[in-house]
Amino acid sequence: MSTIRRRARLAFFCMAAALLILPGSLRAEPEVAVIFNTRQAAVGQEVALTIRISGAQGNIQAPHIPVPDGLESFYTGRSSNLSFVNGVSSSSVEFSYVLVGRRPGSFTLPAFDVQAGGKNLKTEPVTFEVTGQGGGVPAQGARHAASQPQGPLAPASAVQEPPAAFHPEDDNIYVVAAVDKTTAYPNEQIKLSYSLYTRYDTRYEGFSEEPEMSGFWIEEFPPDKEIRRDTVRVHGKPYVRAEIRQIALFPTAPADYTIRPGTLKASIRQEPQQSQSVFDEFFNDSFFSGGGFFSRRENRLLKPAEVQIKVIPFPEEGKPANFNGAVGSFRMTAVTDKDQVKQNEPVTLKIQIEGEGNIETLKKPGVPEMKNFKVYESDSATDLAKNGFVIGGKKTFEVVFIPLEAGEQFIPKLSFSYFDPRTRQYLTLFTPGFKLSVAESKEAAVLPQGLVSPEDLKKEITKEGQDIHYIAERLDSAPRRSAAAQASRVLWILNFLALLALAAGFLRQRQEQVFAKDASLKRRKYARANAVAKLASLKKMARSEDSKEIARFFEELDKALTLYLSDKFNLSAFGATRHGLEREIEAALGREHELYRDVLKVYSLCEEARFGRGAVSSEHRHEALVIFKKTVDIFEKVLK
Amino acid sequence: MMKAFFIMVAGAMLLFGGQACAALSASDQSLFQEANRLYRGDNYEQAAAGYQKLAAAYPGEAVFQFNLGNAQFRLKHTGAAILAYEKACMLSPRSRDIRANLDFALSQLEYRIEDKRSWYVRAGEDWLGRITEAEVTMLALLAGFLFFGSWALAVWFRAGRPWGGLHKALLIFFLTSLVLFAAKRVETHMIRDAIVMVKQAEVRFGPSEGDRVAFRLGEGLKVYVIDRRQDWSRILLVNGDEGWIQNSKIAEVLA
Repeated sequence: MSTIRRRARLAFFCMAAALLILPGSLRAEPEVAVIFNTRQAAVGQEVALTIRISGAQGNIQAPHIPVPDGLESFYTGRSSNLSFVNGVSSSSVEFSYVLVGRRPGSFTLPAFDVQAGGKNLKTEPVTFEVTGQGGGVPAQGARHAASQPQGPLAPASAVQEPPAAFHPEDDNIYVVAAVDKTTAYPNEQIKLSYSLYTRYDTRYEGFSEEPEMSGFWIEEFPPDKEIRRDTVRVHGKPYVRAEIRQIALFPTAPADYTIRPGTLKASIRQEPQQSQSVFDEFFNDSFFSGGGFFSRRENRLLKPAEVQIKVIPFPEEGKPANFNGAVGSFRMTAVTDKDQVKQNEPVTLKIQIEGEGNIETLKKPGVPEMKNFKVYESDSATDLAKNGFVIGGKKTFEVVFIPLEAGEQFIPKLSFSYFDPRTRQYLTLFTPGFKLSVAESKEAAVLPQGLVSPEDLKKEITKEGQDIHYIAERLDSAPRRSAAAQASRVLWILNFLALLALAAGFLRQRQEQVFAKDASLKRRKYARANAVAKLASLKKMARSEDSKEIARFFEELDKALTLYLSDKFNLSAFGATRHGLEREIEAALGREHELYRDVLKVYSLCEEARFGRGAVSSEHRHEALVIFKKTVDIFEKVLK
Repeated sequence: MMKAFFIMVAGAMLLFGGQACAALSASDQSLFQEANRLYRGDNYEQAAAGYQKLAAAYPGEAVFQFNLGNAQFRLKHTGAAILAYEKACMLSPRSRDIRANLDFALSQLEYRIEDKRSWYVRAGEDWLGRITEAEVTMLALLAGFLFFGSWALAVWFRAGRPWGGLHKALLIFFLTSLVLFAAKRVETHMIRDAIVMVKQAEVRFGPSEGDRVAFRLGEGLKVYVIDRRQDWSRILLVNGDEGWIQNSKIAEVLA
């Protein structure tokens, strides 16, 4: 039994191995074929050339076509196909090119080598005819041959002009950011499209710098499963144009806007490499290139030109009072959840606005003030739809009405206004009016879920309008204004005085510092001031005829004169003798000076008065005062 | 010495005491009442003329500017109304009526400018906008008097002793008030507010009609004048945009 089982097992393995090996053994040798969609074309007309390589394994690089002079070629992509029919597998890779004749004549595409599956395949020479002037009529059936499962490439469009005032660094590859309208109303949809124009084998790698679009509400259109591409001619040159990104913009306010469209990253393949890797096939499928991951690629940063958009204000003519900035094309429906209710039983009105436009920003139709109802906003929901390249959808609002009185009650028609930019007109939609049969009830109001708080039952005080505050009819009281002005003046004066006092204090400090270093200076400096002060009191005493006062006068005069002279000559006020003072005066003025004699005379008078008991006449007193003043004046000059 | 001190004090009193507060004359009081009566009678044109006359005669009175703003607003002269409210606000920045009317007038504008300044610049402007230049000056004067006075006392009576906490606090108070004073001066006199007075004004890249239009401004928008030529002013917006505008199309708040 075990032997039979072993044999059966062996037979099974042999059959499985045969099944696995057989298809490989039956696989055909790699082949290459050059296929034209037509053998005759006019000058400027595009001819689709396909190089089909079947039965080859591993990565296959796009062949390099030796184009004869008078023809122009560009590569548009590749596609691959793998089938398994009746146990037989077959694979093929197609490389697509577009040829354009520049002059009439017969052209032969010579045989050229194609590297496939480690083998060198050779094509057959192919001849085709270019006839007279054609005017650039697009070739029929120009096929796109890039990564599967994309459909055929759209026929080349008529000659396209390059974007105005835009000069790309390399005119073989550039990006154009374009809007479908350059003037729009606020909240009107503007489609911003990014188109990549290339004549290289290109791989789009996303945005390296996102666009700046301040002032716009933005909705991004989801990218297509496959990037849409077609061939176009710009300035007579054929390009592959790929629509890589679409964005819907809704301007928020009237103004002139400049959109900075950001920077895109793309890599272009350089010359095909001869060396291949077993991994090439795996990585060989970019968005629309046949270039492998390991082929040499060059990164390019592509910066489209800025886009200018002018957003104009809404027309004032015919603007409805309830217009809230909705722009587009809308329909409105409304329905109540019941038409027979009890008093205080809530009725929900569901309003649905749908159409094309910025659904997200739609506002609920206004509900007028109603005495018979309490009205509460319940909920709103938005269902955004992106149909093609138009933003739309529907927005649902729920309003709860609570009838306060029994009988027949009416929910009035509610209106919603929008601006249709196509007709440039305002349109107003109305909900139907609803009749409610309200039965009498003593039950308290029960709100639907979401409005259950008792606080919600209290209605907010709402402003019914807004206006400027009324004029002022009374002036500020004059004393108040006067007091403020007075206070300011007083503060100025106080500051001035404080600064003055501060400056004087500093001066005084400085003087004290100087006097501290030279004590005689202080005596000299203040000698005159002391003498003048004394002179004033002596003048009063000189008028007296009382003998005691006269004696005191001369005593004080003696002291004052001695003090002054000792200050001036820096002698001790207490130790100064008459003899010593005479010597100093003599040294300062000379023995012959009149003042020398006068001073001696004053001292004599003083002695005479003291010892002669008031015998000195009043003339002598005045003379003594004059001499004292003269002494001060002269010594202030002499000993300056 | 004392004689000189008294001479200086007398001089100071003459210097700073010369600016007497202009009291409203009887004829102006009756003009004010008449303008109010015209306003009540919806004769805004003549009421505005009356308020304008009073505002010119008493540039320090916020009430005349406020009432003028109201009359202009009723006449739908939004730019002139906002200008008058701004002037009133400058004179009486904490008046709720003036603020409310200014905000309401601004809310009626068709255009708006997005404020892209940093939060502290906005907060600083808002804070400085709530005090008058006279108040800031008084504060600086008070701080100055306290500081200089206390210092003078110290010099005269406490010479040689170190500064105590009170002096340091007064110094900080004085310096802070000086910074505030300087900021208010810059805000009022160097960055001069102006209002667009025409329905639409073109702002150009240079001070001539030949220069390209940079952007357009609507009536009532506030701009900052940062340079002024004979016929053109260079303006700055709160969103950072700048350009040149004809002087005839704007009016400075501190004219």
